[in-house]
Parts: sequence; C-alpha cells; structure tokens
Amino acid sequence: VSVTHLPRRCSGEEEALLNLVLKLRRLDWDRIAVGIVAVMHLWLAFTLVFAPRVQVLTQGSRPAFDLFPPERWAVWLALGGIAATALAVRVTAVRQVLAWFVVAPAQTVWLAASVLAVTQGGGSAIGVVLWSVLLAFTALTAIRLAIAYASGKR
Amino acid sequence: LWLTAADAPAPDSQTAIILGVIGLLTAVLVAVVTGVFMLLSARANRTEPAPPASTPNASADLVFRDYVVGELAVNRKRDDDNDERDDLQDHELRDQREVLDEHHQRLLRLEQDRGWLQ
Repeated sequence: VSVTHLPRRCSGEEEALLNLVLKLRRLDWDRIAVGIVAVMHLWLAFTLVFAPRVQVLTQGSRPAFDLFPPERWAVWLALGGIAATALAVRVTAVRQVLAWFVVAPAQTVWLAASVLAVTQGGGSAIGVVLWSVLLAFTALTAIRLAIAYASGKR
Repeated sequence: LWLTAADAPAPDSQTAIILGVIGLLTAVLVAVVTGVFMLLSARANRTEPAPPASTPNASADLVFRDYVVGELAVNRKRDDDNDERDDLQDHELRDQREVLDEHHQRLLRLEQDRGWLQ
C-alpha cells in the first residue's frame, strides 16, 4: 500500500506572498548595495562641482578642503563612483580592489574631517553620523562581496 | 554668495597632515585586507591533482569486462532455471514410472488370474 501526501493548496494571498519572497531572494543584494555606494559618490561629486561654494565650504567640510580643493575632491569621488559602478556591473577581483582603494580612503578622510570639525567647535554632529553610517555600510558591503568572491559563490 | 580667494581662510597644514595620514592608513588597511582575501581565495580554489586520463584501450577493456560479467550473470540464471526444470521433469518421470509399474503389476495379476481360470 502506498500513501501519497498531496501538497496543501495555497490561498491566493499565500501564493502572492511566496512569489514576492522568491523574487526578493533572487535579487543580488550585494550588487545593489555597491550600486547605492556608487550613486552616493557620484551625487557627492556632482554636488561639489555644481553647488555654490558658500554651501560647499562650511565649517564641517573645511578640514577636508584643507587637504584637497573641492575640484580635486569631486574628481576623487567621481572616480570612486565610477569604480563602484563598474563593480556593480560585474564583480571581479581587480574591480573590487580598485573600487575600495578609491572609495574607502575618501570616506575615512571625510569622516575624520567631520570629527575634527566637531572637536574644534564647529561642523555638524549629524555629518559625523552620516559619514559613519556610509563608511559602515560600505565596509559591510565590501566584506560580504569579498567573502562571497573568495568562497567561490560568485 | 561666492567666496573670493581673499575671503577663504588659509588651509590648516596640521589638519591636512592628519587627514592625509588617515587616508594613507585606510589605503594600507584596504591593501592588507585585499591580501588576506587573495590568500584565502587561493587556498579555497586549490584542488586535488587531476587523475590520469583514461586511455581508449582501458575504456574498451572496461566495456568488455562489463559485457562478460553481464553474460555470466545471464548464463547462471539460465543454469538455475534449467536445474529446476530438470528436477520437475525427473519428478514427473518418476510418477509416470510408478503408474506404469502399477499397470504392469495389475496386468501380471490379470494374466495370472486368467491362467488360473484356464
């Protein structure tokens, strides 16, 4: 005697939910995160180039501009955005190294500049929080991507 | 609204040095982490050496061996079936001989009885 267990018939709502979960699981979240980092850097470069100087040269950003002028920062951040975009399009070892070599120092310098500005009595405490979050997000993305790449999953 | 060069404060060289050092340290950290991951990746991708390639003769030998083994199994099964059939035929033959013996005995008895009558 053979006993067969037939699957329970799902309701319409359950089937729609399962399909949504399936679609979300198929998304490549690591590459989406890299894309977010790329957009952030390109947006920052665009802002540095096209925003009025008085809105760019603030007490919070002054330490960063003591190191490089805004144009050079715009080029650096644009390069980081382009490198991150290339990494989001296709994940390779060379693209990872290039992207993080450009992106990570820029972010740490800007975070340090925000912290210096705050400790010197000016700047923006919110800026420190935002740069910290962006740096943590980028670091997490880079580590996840590197682990997936090193383990052969990607 | 644009600041002129005269309005802009002079760059602070100490701050620039601090930020430059932080940027360089970050680059060094990225390089170290990259090296660690390259090392891990190289270890993960290391595989066992490939086994020696099988020659066409070895492959043909294996096919022939499989064929012989298969034929042997079929013949053993046929032998077993034949033995069973032989046993059945022997049993049937024994039964028929016994019946024949009975008939023969009865015939002899009938002849003896007729001799008595004659």
